[in-house]
Amino acid sequence: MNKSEVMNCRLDMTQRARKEIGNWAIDENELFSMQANFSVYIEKLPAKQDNMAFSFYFGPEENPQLANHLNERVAVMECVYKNEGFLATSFRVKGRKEPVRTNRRLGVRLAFAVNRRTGSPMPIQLYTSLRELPIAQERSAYVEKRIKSWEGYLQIEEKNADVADVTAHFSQPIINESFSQLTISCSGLEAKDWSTITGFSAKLKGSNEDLGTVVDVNRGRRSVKIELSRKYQAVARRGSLLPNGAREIVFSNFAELSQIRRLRKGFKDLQDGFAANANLEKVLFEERPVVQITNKRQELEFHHPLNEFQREAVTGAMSAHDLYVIQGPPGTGKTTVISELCHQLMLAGQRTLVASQSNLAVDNALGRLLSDPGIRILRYGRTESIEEEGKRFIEENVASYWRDETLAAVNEQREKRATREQEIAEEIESLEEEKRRLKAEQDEMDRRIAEKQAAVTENKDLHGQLDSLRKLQSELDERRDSIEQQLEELARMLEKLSIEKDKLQQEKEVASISQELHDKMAEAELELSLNRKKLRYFQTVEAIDYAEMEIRKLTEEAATNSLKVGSMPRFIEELSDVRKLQELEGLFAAHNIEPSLPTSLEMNTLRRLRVDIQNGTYPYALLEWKEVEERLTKGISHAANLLRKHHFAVEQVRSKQDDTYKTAEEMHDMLDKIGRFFVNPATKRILAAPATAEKATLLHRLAENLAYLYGKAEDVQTISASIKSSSDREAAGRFTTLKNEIKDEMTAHIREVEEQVAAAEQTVKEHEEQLLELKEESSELAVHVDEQVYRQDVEDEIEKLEKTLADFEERKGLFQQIELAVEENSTESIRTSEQLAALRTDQEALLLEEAEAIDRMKQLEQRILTLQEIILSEPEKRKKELIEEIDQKSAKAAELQQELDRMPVARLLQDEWSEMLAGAGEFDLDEIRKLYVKHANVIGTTCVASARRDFMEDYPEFDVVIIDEVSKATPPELLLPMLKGKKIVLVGDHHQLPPLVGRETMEEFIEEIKDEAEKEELSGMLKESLFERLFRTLPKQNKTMLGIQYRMHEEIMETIAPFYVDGQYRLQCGLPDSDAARDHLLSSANIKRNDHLLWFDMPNEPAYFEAKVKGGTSLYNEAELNRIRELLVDIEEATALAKREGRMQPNEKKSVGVISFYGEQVKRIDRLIEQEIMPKHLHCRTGSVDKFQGMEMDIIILSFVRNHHQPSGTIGFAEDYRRLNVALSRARELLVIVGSSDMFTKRPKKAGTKAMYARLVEQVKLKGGFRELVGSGRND
Amino acid sequence: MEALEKRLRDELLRDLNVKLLETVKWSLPIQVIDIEYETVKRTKMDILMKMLLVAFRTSRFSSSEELSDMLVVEPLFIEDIKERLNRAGMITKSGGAYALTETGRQQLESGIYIQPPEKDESTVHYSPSHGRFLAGEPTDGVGEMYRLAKDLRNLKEFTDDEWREALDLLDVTYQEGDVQLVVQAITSVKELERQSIPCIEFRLHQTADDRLYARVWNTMTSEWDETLENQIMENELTEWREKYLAE
Repeated sequence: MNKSEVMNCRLDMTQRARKEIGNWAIDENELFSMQANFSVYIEKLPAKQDNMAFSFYFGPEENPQLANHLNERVAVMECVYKNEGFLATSFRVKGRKEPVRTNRRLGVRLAFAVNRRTGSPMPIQLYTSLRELPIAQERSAYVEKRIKSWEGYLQIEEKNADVADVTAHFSQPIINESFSQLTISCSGLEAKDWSTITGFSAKLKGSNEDLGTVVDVNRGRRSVKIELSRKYQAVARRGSLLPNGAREIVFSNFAELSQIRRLRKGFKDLQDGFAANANLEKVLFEERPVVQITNKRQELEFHHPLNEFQREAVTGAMSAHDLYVIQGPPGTGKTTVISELCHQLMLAGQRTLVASQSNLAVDNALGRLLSDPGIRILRYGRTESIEEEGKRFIEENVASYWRDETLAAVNEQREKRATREQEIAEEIESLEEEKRRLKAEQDEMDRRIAEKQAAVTENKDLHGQLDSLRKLQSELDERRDSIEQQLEELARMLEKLSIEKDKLQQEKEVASISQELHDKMAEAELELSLNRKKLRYFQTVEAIDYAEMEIRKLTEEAATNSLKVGSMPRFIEELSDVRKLQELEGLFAAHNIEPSLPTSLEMNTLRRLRVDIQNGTYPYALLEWKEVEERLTKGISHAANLLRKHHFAVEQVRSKQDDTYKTAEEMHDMLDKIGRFFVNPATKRILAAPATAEKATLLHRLAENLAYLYGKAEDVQTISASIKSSSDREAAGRFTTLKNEIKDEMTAHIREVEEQVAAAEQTVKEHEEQLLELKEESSELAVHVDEQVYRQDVEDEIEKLEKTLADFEERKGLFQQIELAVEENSTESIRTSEQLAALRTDQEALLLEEAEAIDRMKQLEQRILTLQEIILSEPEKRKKELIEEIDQKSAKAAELQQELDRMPVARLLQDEWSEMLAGAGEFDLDEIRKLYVKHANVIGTTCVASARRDFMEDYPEFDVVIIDEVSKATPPELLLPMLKGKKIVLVGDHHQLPPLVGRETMEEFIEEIKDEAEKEELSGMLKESLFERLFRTLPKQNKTMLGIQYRMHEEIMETIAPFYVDGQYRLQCGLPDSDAARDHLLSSANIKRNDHLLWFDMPNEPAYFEAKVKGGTSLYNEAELNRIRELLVDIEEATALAKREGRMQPNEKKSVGVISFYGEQVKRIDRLIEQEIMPKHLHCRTGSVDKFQGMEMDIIILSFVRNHHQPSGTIGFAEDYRRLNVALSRARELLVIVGSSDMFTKRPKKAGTKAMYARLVEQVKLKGGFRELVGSGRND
Repeated sequence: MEALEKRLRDELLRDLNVKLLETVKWSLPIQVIDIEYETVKRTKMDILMKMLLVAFRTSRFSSSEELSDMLVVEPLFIEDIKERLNRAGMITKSGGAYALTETGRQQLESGIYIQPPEKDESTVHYSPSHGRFLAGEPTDGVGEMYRLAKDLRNLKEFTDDEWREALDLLDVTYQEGDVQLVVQAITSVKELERQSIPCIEFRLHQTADDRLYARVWNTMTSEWDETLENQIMENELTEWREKYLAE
């Protein structure tokens, strides 16, 4: 849901709400029309009668008009969800500071439709969001329940906190030699006060400022020791610490109380949903932290040189959501990671809070960021508690720091300008040179591109040629194959032909014909001819008979035909006179002629027609009209009668013509009408009456009608007459036609018969001629025939002879065939041989052609290969690169040229700027400070200070909160900065020391608790720190472990490596050559150049035992102090020697840390160094192991202190592996342990502790660094 | 002097664990120097703003980066001030670069000075042993010179910044409403004389911790002088242990 999107919703009022609104506005309509819409934060309340219930918070900043009306106060309206809208149940106005926006509330922009029943229902996305909104109380209850487990930490701190200020009289103020402490003698303090005021602040009565903090009390001597604040140390130096008359001092627990209050407020803020990251409570309290997991990793360019682990850490922290945890063993570059992270966040435009439990750690982390331009650090906190490294970043110093830095940079530029000018000129020249070179290369590339393009074209062309050659080749192959095949075939054929030739030759010989046979055949032919003549004779005789018979028959036929014509001509003559049908019939009968079928049919028709005419049966039309006529006649007579009956002069009525009623049907209609008129009762009534005018009119009308009827009767008669006459005319016409047809028919018949007669006569003539010829032939042939010759014999003889002759002819044909075949065979052989020769020539030509093609192909392939090389080259790519490069160079040159052009201006301005900076006044610095603070992007402070009110107001939220040394802070302390971060990065090492409570460790504190149950509860809490639990349970995207340490010489690292073994993980040394990089350069009786790990063993004997100061609790060990004195003197001398021998610079100092598990020992070491040794070549620093966490030195001397024969075998603080880990991991070059190995490896009760120290002794021995006390050193 | 010594001694010996080993009196040499300088009165215009106005008056700048590079000032700061100047109508953008408006020109003038520079002079005291100027009223001491005194410093070795710091100690500059008086330039310096400041040195032994230490009262600054104490302790503590505590 988009926060800026305005959503409409209905709002109804209960009476109560209305009344409450009435206190602030005329009514709700006025109130809610002040703004078009309202920014509302909705908190879900527990449901009321199953209705969702809400509180609406109207913030003044987001609702200016409303706020103006409500005096800038926050309005809270309670509502329930009803009828798809809201029903307000109450309206209150709270204070200006009432929180409006929390993680529990839904921020929306609403436009209210007040008291309107209608209107659209609630938008679905709003409804859904409201449904999903957790009930705020429940969420808070959840957090409250979970945070209970942290209560213990607060209880510890609160234990002494709840004490009122204590005022006491004092005397005998004594300031110590370093002006750091004031000791006073107090009177009037009660017993319980003595035990509580340690840690309290002290101030003179009537003063506003604390002198310092109570660090020690001695009830017996009634003395109170106060550690002075830096400011009062300076005052003390001026001798004006205690004004005359100052007699009373006030001890107050205010600072501690306010700290606890801040921690408590942290709890409350988390409960109320004020965390910058709404997900924080889930991250902290769910068994498995709920974080939004991302697999998208940012690609970063790193500012610092980082190893793989550090890169992983920075990338992971930048990419992760909600929370990222970095576990960093000693020396693995946690601070580098933090610096890089700040740098990356700065690039991303984000503001970062760097927080830590202690001021020292904050300053350490910030110190590393120094060199990073773009990062503006602001150190927030009480000035006097900030270390030297952090000082320049406090608000009052940032401006002068910035001024100094800027001035130095400007002056450096001014100094460098002359050389810079020269450099730029040279660089421009070299850039131009480079450009010319690139240009030349670009031209070359252009040439190559052209070449390549040509090559591509040629390649394509050559490929075409090659293809066609290949095709040619395969064609030639095919052709060669076919020629070979043909050759083979021809050879085979030739062979076959020669075989056939031989065979034919043989056959020919067999088939040849003799002369004898020829003669015989000629004879047979003669005989046949004779026989044929004989046969012909017989045939002519037969034909003569036949012809004579035919002539006779034809003659008879002709006679019959002429008879057939007979009377027909007469009939035709008479026909023309016939006028009637009967006459025609008579004529036929008279001439004994049968009329043809069509004639008789027509005659029948005519006959019927005549009968109709005679009967008056006319066609249908006439009949129709006849009916009309009859009706007219009837009508006329009826009308005439009627008129006559009434004495109307009928005779005078004349016919009258009219054009209406023409057809028969129409006339019927007319008649129907007249008929109806006659029978109409009215007509009848009028007629029945005596004569009246009416009757007269009627009669006239009747007469009129009659006249019409007359007219119509005439018409009908005319029509009937015309119909009758046309019918008669038709009958007459048909008769004439009939007569003509009969005539035509007859005439045709006569002509036909005459033609038949003529034809018969012709045939007879022909037959007679034939007969004559036959007779002639017969007489000629008769010579060959005598009476013994029979026709049958002749026929048989002919048949026989014909067969003989046919056989002979056949034989002759066969012979001819063979001869032909022989001839064909020889032709074929010649032709085949010729073909063979031709093919051979073809074949040779083909082979030649083929060889040529192969040659050509080889040439082409060679060329293509060459071209391919050109084509595969990429001059375009190179050209593009070149163009880019040229552009870059040009841009760079232009930039430089501009700089060069600007030089005179730059000189002028920089000179002036330098002067201004140097003369910057108070006001200038103040302005710069404001600017700096406004744009500060890395803010450093301690966890607890991050909750201070002014800080909260200046910086309510950070994009990222980085917390360093997390394991040293308690969860309530961590919570304070965590609340402010949208994203939180935790950096720490849970194998190092846990938090301190006041001046004691948690364990020490818990040890002192008398109540067993409480003791147990609190120790349970310590088993796993928050950091450790998060590191264990977070998904891998949200955590990492740094694995390469750069601080310690490898041998030193080996002593702590066992603490970090975890699965595959091993602590690695990142120094490429430990001996070279961590050479301490010292050489003495005790220390050799290659020693990095030494243990000066103390016997577990009374002379070397620990001791306790009277009245104190802490321990010291005189024997170890003596040993340390010797060692320090030795190191001091060795350093001096190293300087003399040139291994070290004359003003160089070795940093040496002398540390111990016990405060008293540290105090004595301090005195030893300051008062007795006063080293000139060493930079010594002392402190407890716990205080040294986070620090590193070239050389560390570690004093174990514990050495006794007590049955408990306790080694106290040294039992904790984490403390030992910190103690061992502070040295870069040389770690020197002073302590009793027997005490630590044999006396402790716990096997684990003994093993831990035994392993350490073993490692030292392995490196040859174990030194037992001999000779003069022994305190025997 | 006697009274002072007694008061200081009593104070030191209030702690019963402290034993006085010896009291020594000597003089610390200081250089008395006269600085001549010019002051100017001008309106309150911070230097960064003034510098930007000067830059815009001098040349055309189109980007904050360019100015940022030249002045070695974060672009963010320049943007910030540019916006302020723009809002106040002191600059206007024309042709892609900023130029001063009439208002801007006038403001810049008054930001440089309201009245012409005035000459002034002050006397300062430099202690070579401290390596810095001391504030206070010197009285001329007698007797032995401080045994660890450093050589006097040649005036030519001082930078203007050091002179300005010395003047700062004297509070010669001031602000009033919209106007401030600032030191415009150091025109000349000359050494007037050499003086010696009387100092009282107490050599003490803190018996409870067996610590030896020195306390030196500087009569010019009227305080226990840490610098001198440290110099003495660093050089002589071992010697003292032998001299006073060897039995």
